[in-house]
Amino acid sequence: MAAVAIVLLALLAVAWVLENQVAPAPPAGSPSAYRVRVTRQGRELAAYDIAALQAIGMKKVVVQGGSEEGPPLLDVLRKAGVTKFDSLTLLGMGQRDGGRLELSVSDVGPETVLDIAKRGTVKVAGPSIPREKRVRDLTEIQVN
Amino acid sequence: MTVIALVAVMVLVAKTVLRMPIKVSGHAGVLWIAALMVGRSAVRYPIAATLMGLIGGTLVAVFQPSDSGSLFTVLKYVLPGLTLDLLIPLVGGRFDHVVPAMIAGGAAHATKVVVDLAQGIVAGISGPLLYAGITVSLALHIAFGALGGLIAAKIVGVLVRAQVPQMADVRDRDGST
Repeated sequence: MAAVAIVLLALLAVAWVLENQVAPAPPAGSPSAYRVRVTRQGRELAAYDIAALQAIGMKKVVVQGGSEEGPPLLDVLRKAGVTKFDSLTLLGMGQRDGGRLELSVSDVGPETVLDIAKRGTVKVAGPSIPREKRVRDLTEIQVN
Repeated sequence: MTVIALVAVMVLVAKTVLRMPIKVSGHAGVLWIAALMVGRSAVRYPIAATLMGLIGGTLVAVFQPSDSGSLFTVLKYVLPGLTLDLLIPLVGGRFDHVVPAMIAGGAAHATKVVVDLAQGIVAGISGPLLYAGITVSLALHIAFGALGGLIAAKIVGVLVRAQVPQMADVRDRDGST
């Protein structure tokens, strides 16, 4: 069992090396850092990294049995200067889901949040968004 | 089979009961790892813990679906069970000693993080997004798994002292020391 303990410690060391040396996160504000853009008719209204999203204000909601926490989508839009919209198109990296979700005004309420995931990206979650339709690793919110 | 099914249900119950809204990685493992280890100590079938993980993982995938999808959800419980099946011969057939049980529990629970990583690779994620937070997640899973091992060791110890038949090992049954 001592060997197993040594293996576990080695695993932790490998994890640290992978996270910090092999593939460290780019510094905030750098072009390659993760951002969520808000656009309207092709024009960028705002771009938020994780820290900027957290600064908007965090809200915790329970949807479909799971706890989601992040800035409310309406607050994110308001901060970008969007007070009225007909619909939203949410685009993600498309690596773990379809990468695209259309939301009407009625689909977006105070409980719709951009949940900040442990991997450093956000996903959209809300009472009217079924789990299988969620967009993870969100990159752009197109305002229509 | 009764014990296997019972432990599988306890896996689901542990995931439900210990659902903390504070997003601490792996906290539910304290209970279900302990359940797997106690169950494996009672059932001497070589792949008993793997079976418990398979059935328990299936129940979790059905009743508590997550973003992981069914396959990876089930794997997150099968691999820890398999790890326990592989490690139990090293500790004399039951997890009644604290330190070995904690190490085994930590190792078993750590395999969940391996499945997470594999899922990310299959999804085509790479670079910083793949490894973000992995060190803390792994450390927490090992810690909570070790805590589960500690609980299991205490429970198995009580059951052995109470001379529960399923906990007796071959040496005990022979009457030899």
